[in-house]
Amino acid sequence: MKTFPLRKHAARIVVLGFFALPLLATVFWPSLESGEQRALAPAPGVPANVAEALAWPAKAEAWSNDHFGWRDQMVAAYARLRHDLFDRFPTNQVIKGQGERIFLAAHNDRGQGAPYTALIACGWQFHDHTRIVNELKQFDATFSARNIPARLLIAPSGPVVYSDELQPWQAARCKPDQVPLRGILAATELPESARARIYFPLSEVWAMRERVEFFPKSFFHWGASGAGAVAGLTERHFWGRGEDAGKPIPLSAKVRPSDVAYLFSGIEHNSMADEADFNGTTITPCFGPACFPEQQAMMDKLAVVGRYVNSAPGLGPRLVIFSDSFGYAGAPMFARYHREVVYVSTNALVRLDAAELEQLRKLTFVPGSDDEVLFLYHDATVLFGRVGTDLDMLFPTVGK
Amino acid sequence: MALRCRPCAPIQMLFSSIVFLFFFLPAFLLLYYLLPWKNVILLLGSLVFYAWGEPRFVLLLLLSATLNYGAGLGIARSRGRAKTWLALGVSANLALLAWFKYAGFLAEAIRSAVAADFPVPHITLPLGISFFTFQGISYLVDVYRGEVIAQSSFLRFATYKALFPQLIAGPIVRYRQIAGEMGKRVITNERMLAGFQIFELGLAQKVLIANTLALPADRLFGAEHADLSAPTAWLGLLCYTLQIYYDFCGYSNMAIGLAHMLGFSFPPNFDRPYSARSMTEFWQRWHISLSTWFRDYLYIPLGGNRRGPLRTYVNLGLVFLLCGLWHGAAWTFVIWGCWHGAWLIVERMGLRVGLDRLPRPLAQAWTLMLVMLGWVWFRAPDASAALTYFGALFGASANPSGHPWQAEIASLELVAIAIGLLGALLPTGHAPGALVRRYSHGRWVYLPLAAASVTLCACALASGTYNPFLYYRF
Repeated sequence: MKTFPLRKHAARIVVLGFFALPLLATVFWPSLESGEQRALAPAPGVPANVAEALAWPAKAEAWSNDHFGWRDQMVAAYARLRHDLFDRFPTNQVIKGQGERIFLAAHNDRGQGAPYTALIACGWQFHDHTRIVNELKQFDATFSARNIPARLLIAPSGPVVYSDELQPWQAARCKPDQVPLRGILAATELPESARARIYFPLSEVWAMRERVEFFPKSFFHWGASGAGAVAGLTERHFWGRGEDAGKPIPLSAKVRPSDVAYLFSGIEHNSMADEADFNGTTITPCFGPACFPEQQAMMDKLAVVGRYVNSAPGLGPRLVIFSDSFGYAGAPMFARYHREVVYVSTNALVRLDAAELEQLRKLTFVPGSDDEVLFLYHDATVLFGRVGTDLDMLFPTVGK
Repeated sequence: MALRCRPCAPIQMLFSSIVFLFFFLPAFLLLYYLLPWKNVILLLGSLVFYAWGEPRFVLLLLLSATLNYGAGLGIARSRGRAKTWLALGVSANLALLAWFKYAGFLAEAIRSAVAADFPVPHITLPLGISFFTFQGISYLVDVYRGEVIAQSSFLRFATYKALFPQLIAGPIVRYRQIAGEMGKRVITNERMLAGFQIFELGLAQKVLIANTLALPADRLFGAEHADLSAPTAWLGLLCYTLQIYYDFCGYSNMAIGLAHMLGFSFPPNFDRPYSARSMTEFWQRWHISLSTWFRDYLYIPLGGNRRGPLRTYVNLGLVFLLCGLWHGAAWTFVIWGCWHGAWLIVERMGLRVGLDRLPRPLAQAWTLMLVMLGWVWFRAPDASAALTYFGALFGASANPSGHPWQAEIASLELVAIAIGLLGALLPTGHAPGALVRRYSHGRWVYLPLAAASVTLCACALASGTYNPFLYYRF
């Protein structure tokens, strides 16, 4: 019997075996899910016609990119290597600051876009002064016309509050007294009535920075203590409620992973962060669409919604909060001052049809009520045009 | 390998992609090594490789193979009409290239010149057409010259034409360079290891250096040029200079390495061109398979330098004008070609003697600066963008602090630049050139290093597939 000349073919066997490892892993240990907050590409299937056959390679490539063997391990290993050697994150959406602080640096789609867009709050390549002034005028006009006492709280974001902890070249371009929102709010085109509806407490936040950790070091969003401090400032600014209003909400602090950790799989950035702890308080928290049984179908689409009922006596009226993702930690902290806080994230407003929008308006803008209404956004999203976008969706104008 | 997306290329199976490395390559190699019908497997594998990005142009590739196969046989078998067959074959090759690559450009140029208003055809450029057209022409000319015997087996010829390691981005492998290997190939352990190690070297050049520097290069060339200070613009140009070299050289090395693994010997395509002391020397080291193609099939037939200085200058000018056009149908490529041609002419006129007398680092720096300035034309989407970038390079920006270099270049990019410069600038014979040559000889001792490097590159590629979705409207 002829024996296989192993020595002669050794290099081919070794190299082929090496290249085949990920393929074998794909077959035997496929990656079925990921923490990327997106649906992984489906299997391409068998093409049924010429058009599908022509499109098949792109589908197969998308599937292979999402499902090859050891994907998660490889992604994590490379992310850790680059991070430890070069202080780099696997996406341009996150940057390292000085010390332990990290910043969400870019609002783009899956890291595929311009970096540093989140630094727009500092003025980084911001060119839309006139457009944003017009949106703030639109805010005033919209609610004046409807006689709704809506207010707009613009929360300073991490890069603005801790600008001195950015990398030096960024810090040099991110002076708190030169951020674009200051110029926008001081613009002569902005009517006084609009200015009265808007609060951007950057100076106050800077004055409190030594006492209050507004943003945990590895977080994009604010922590409960930061949100609570801004809630107190806002209540006093808009409605004249002081420190004696309501009882402070207890906080529980512990080391937590970053709220944007899914952006850097394989890298750990934990920091001390606090959350509202309603145990033993007069507040009944409720988070999720089930808090609104009468409107659950509509709320299911919005997903990020909540209701906080405070049974303590002598509190302010119902507060309706429309917000970006800052509302998640922000809304509960207003529950100290109000008998009820209704919180609706507008991130998914686009999913609602006309009837559902009407249902939402009925729930949140009640004619003749003493409700207070607050729109809560962080500064970068305001500078990207979020106010105008949300107003156009909430109050669509036929033919516009 | 995409020199530049103009117009934007369809998807294609790059060597440095997950689908190639993790799926196509192991499956193909397994079949290729196990089954006895090597050329059949190789042809089918190559067609799948090509069809991945261009399924509808597979027929064009086979048409080109048929055309050149037939014309080659025509030249070989009817010596009396060999010239006619040659003219027919070359014309057909050029006609295909002209239609697919230049028809739109020419129509646009004519429309602008005569201020007429007629529709300009939008023709999709088939992948690799510039490469397989030149391949075909060189085959026909070599058969005509009697330098190679015409291939009588269509299977073998089609396999050569479609050979996937060199199909879409070169090097331009002439038939005579691998004619013997089309029939019989021997893959020794040394050859296999050499192939793996050269492939690994190319993969690292592409993934770790070129890809790292591509981002800052793209961002700085894509920025408002009026926002760039002169140092920032030069850094952007340096990133692109290294990116294009390591991208192209890396891809060529991957092709050469793969060819070894399949039993073929491809010629080297780069010999550290940025260490050249003159533009003339640069072209002896840059994209060697293309520059020698132009030399052998255009410059020398035009008379080369044998018909006096003036004719030599005209020949050089024409060759580099066409060389520019070969790279892309756009005026910026024409200008890029003319820029190089002009400096070669000036060197012929006497500058070369002066450069030879300069200390080596000075001559190298001069040459590199000229090459870099040429890349501005190559990289810019149009002449006006090139001119504004030149303005930034020479300090004419209106707002030079608008886009700081630190926004694009940090420690990772600086390390890539340092390694890239070290590998590119040291002249032949010095480390790491000698080291690389030893490494490329194929020894078991280097296998762990090569495997570790491929693993690192694979992790880098895997990282590129991880696309977490951040709430778009935070």
